[in-house]
Amino acid sequence: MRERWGMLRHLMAKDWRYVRAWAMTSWALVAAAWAVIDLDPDLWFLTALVHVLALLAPFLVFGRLLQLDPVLGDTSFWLTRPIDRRLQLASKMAVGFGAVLGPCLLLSVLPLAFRGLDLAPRDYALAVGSMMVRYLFIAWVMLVVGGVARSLAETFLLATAFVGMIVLGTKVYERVWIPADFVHEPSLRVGLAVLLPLQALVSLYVLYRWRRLAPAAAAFVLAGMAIIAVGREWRWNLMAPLMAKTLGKSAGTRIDWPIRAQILAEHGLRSSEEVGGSGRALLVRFEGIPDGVSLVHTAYETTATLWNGRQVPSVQQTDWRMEDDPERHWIPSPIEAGLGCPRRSSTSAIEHDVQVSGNGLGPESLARLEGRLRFLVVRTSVSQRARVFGGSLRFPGGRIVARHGRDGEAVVLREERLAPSPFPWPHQPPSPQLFDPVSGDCLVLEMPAVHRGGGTDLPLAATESRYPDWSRRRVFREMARGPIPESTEMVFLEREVLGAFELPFTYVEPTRPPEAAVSPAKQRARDALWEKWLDAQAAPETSAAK
Amino acid sequence: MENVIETHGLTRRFRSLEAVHDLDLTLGAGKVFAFLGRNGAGKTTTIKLLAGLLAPSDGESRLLGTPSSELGPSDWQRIGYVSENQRLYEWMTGRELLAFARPLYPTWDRAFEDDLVRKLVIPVDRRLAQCSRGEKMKLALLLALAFRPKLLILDEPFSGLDPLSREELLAGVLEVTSQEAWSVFFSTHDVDEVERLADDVGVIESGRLELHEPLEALQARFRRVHVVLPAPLPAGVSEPGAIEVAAEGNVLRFVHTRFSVEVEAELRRRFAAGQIEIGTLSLREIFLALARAFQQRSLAHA
Repeated sequence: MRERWGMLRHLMAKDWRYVRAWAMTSWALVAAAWAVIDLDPDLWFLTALVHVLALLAPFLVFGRLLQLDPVLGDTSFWLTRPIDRRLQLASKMAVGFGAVLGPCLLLSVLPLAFRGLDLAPRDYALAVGSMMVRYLFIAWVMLVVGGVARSLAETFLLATAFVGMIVLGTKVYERVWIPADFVHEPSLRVGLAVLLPLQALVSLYVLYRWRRLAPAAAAFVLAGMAIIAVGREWRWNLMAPLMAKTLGKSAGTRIDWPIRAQILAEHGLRSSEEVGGSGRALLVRFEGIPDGVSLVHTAYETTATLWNGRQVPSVQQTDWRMEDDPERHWIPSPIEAGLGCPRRSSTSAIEHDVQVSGNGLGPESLARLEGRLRFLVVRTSVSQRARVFGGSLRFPGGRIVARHGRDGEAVVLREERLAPSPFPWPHQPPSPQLFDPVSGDCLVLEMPAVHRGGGTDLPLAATESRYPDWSRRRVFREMARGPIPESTEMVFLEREVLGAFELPFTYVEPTRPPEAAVSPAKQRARDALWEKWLDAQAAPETSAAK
Repeated sequence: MENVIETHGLTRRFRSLEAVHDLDLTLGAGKVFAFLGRNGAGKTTTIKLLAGLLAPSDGESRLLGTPSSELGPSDWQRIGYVSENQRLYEWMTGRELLAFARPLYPTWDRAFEDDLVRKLVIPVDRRLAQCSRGEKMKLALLLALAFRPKLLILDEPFSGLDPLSREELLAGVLEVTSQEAWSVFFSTHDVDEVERLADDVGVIESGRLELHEPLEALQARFRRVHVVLPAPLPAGVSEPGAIEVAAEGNVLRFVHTRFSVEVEAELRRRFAAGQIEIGTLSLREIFLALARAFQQRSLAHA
């Protein structure tokens, strides 16, 4: 045992000597990604380049590490030396994960401490976890590819082919998908994020043990099948141990400060995203909200929106008035229709009821963890209205690129930055020069999100982004469907946080809603709809009782 | 005597090409075996099969009693391997590579290493990427010799080397093989060095082992025969056991492959009317004669 340990250290020393310069370059790139984040938005290309390199570099180093001693082929020096192949693999993994990826992971998170975000230790743990699972996913690709490729060029080709194959495979088997929310989603996706690297390691072990590609490929497939089977039943929220525990079920349904609120009902959601459990939603009524003031639910859909360590759990607001909202909630249409709210409005002041939902993207964990619902009371004001021609425009601190697809479809890609200020952009209206009208069309609704999950009194770094990449693309495709107007009025909003309060997320029997400050006619219509909806909810039970 | 190399029916196919066919080979301990063959004859494939770098399509091979497919660290601590195709760590200097290799072998002889570095004139402080092919081969040989292996496998060690490097390398191998009873299996397509090194010789052609015997026996049974007769020879003359038969007028030349005292007496009796000269062949001449004969046979088959 001692001999093997000595040999492992000997091999690790050799591997480290080979990659140390590359590894340090990776560290520098990760650090540089923090340095360039505050660059002028006009230098977005440089920022993006550094970020992409910072993300890829550690994995290229990992690939080089594996390719230093190819296990396939017949020209490797080590294959005819007294080197245990399992020790060789162990050395690669130890150096790859310990000396290359590990420091990159830490470096990508530690600078959060210097961003003035006032984060709690738990937030760092969340950020590390978030970053780790993202790294693990890329590591999965690199481990599979790096083991069989013999050069960087081969690595690129094989990685492209491999990812292409996976994407194609997911079209066939929809449930296997690139994890969207690695951290908070107690579902197959989280399972995959954790298990896929294990699959790669199983395959690599077989490859190193027997030096045969066919058994390694078979091991990859078999391990993949096992992982999917396990992943289907995956119920472990990766970050659950780090999340705040519930305050208990004291469940006061009414809270009087600073705004009166009552949980009216909880109901299920039908979502196009099956995540191994039904989403749930709360219907909450708020009263006494001043004009122009709205609520932002801080615990909903906490997700990591910025990559490369800048993941601060973000929050967003949603409400039931989004008939065709990005997550495709299905909202009982009578309620929606009766309230006469504008469609797709996620930023205007909330007058009364708010639906807070856990859906396919995010925390059904809300329900599972019985977490508190934290709301920020914010004042939203219009900072600028602009008429935008075409689809390319730039936000302070961020950038939107519109690309036009076939059949009039527009795909909008956003690139975001973490702005250190409490607001997404300065108070003064953005300069008209910031807009870059080009020919082409795209309807973009800006949906500011407040960066910060679970906290009530934290400084708010903000980002324009709401959705993880893959989701965002879908969202904007959806939004741009149909005829595209020649020009679009853009409304830029600013938000000011006035206060915060909490609601316990606890099931409450539906009750008749209290009077609300709406017109009597509207209220009557709403009440009627409400009764109808409650009846509809009760109907299946009545039928069942009969 | 224990065999250090054994193969039984060893076969390797690459799709339709049979690179090695039904190879039965043994090498006794302490012997130096030269594996001869033209380019593409199957030498390197055989060596890779022996080293377990390639899996056989059929048959099996054993090195030092261990199946090639199961060679592990403890086996490689007794086997030295040098191949012209092997990729050394080019980013290391020779000294660094030696430092890496040393702990891998419990029997590594540091004094012997220093001795070889001096004798082979290896620039150990230069990065391998900056070394010539000959320097790399010498370093590879040093890496294979310094732990005093029981079996040394050399795949085309002299190929592409300049005469000086070849001589230094050859001297290195000669020295250790003459001092200690090491078993050496080396392939080459050049036979100059074989005569100085080999005890046994094998010739492979199109994946088939055509010949396998001690060098002395081989040289003893090959003779060049030159006959001048008083009258022209009839067309289509043939000679049993002969290759490279050439008849021009009243002159007959051939290489006898089963020469012996009895054969010599028979030849002198048959060609008593003329003049007969019988001469020995160098290994190079034997190999060339065989290679041409194999080629003619292949053409005839085709």
